[in-house]
Amino acid sequence: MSRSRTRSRSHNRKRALPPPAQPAPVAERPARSDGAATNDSAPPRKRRLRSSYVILGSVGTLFVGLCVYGVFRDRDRDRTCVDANNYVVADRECERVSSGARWYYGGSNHGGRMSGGSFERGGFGGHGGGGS
Amino acid sequence: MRRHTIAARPDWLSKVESQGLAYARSYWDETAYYEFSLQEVEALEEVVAELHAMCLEAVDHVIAADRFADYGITDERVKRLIVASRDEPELYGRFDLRHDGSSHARLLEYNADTPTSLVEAASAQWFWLEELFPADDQWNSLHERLVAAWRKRPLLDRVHFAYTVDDTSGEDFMTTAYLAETASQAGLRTHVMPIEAIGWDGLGGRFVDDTDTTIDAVFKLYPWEWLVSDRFGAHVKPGHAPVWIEPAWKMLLSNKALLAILWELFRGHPNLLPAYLDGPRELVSGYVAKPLLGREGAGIRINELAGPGHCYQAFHPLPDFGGNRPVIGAWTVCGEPAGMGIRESEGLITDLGARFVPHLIRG
Repeated sequence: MSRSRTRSRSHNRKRALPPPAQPAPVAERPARSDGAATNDSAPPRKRRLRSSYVILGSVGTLFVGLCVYGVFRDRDRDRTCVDANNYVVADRECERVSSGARWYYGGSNHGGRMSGGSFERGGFGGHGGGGS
Repeated sequence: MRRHTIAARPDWLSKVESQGLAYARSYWDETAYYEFSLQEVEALEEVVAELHAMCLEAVDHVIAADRFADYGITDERVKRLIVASRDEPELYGRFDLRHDGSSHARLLEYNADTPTSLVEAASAQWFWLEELFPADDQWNSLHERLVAAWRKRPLLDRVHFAYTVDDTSGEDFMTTAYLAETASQAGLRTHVMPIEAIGWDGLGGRFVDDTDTTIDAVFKLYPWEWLVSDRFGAHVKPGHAPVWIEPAWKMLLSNKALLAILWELFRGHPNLLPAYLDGPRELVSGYVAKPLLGREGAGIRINELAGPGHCYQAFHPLPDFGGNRPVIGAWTVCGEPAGMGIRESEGLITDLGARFVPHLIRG
């Protein structure tokens, strides 16, 4: 089993570890809410508390992509600071609370006015990291 | 509970980075690991299950007794959001416990809204065990349980996963991407995007993603208190799409006022520490002042009075294992105990400088 797992690790794109070849270990104790089963005819075996598999899919390769494309740092991409009539103004206006300016996402600049962008965006964010 | 030192794998950094831990360099520490017995872990499981049940009781009490003001929640709209969401299922959460292996584990806080440290707990330490100690076990059924949790929600089809680009460490993005992967493995369609790119269609009264597609359900690694106070927060309405994951009622668990409510409801419980909202009371010889909405240890003061918006909790120093002070992160998925991750620090407060140390179960 360990050999097949090692082989799986060597694949870069799909980091899949197959479920164990043996049946999942049987709980030592009566059936629990975690779904572990019991088998009266088999000798008790130790309860297993770890996942029988972890499949990462593309998660493992995302890190490389992050470094290449700068996902985190590039928060300014594809946005333009505009006034209430979608005319382009200096970015610093969007950093002033009372300016009335806002970020316009997507679209293109026609004579100093943005159009073709989709819906109003940028209504969430600006606090820092969200995890805890 | 024992701490062992061990040589790190020569290629540990590339390995754990490829397992989703983009921020591993100064954070993942496999020069040590913690060993637990099965009995110790099963005892912790029971503690976590009981704490979670108590937390749900606290939520229902706060709603029934209108204790929102204790949480600093005075906006009627936010109250309605919380009440209306109470029946919506939860996904996951992380209790932070003070535990030394001998005395009762004690609840320090419950990260129930936007918990991170997930990728290292679910993935990197699982692969670490598989490679180094395959004959041993680990309290870590996070991955399987998360996949199963998505399968329990047949009404969801396409789920958006939103992170904030303001987190430059990569942790929020990788946590969000990992959770999207678990949903994908459960058969859901997923789309990962910055929360900053969510759009509002004023005519249609709907949120849209960065491709202008309607958002029906969204996991957000973005705290509720920010969500409701942002400009778009006014568009978040009770009973209206999208489905928000985690639901709004988890605001009552991720706020440190929970600690005082729990102590009030379950005074003397062996897994709780005395905690109050109006001051340290009898804890004058040792207390910690925690901001109600503090994150990652920020703003915590020891034996120092703070202004309004703090919870005062009895000070029990983290245990000392050779100069290293671990805090147990005990995970729940769908409200059930699901695993453990340990972060170590040298100081008394576990903050952004903490290191993640793997664990195993032996014997």
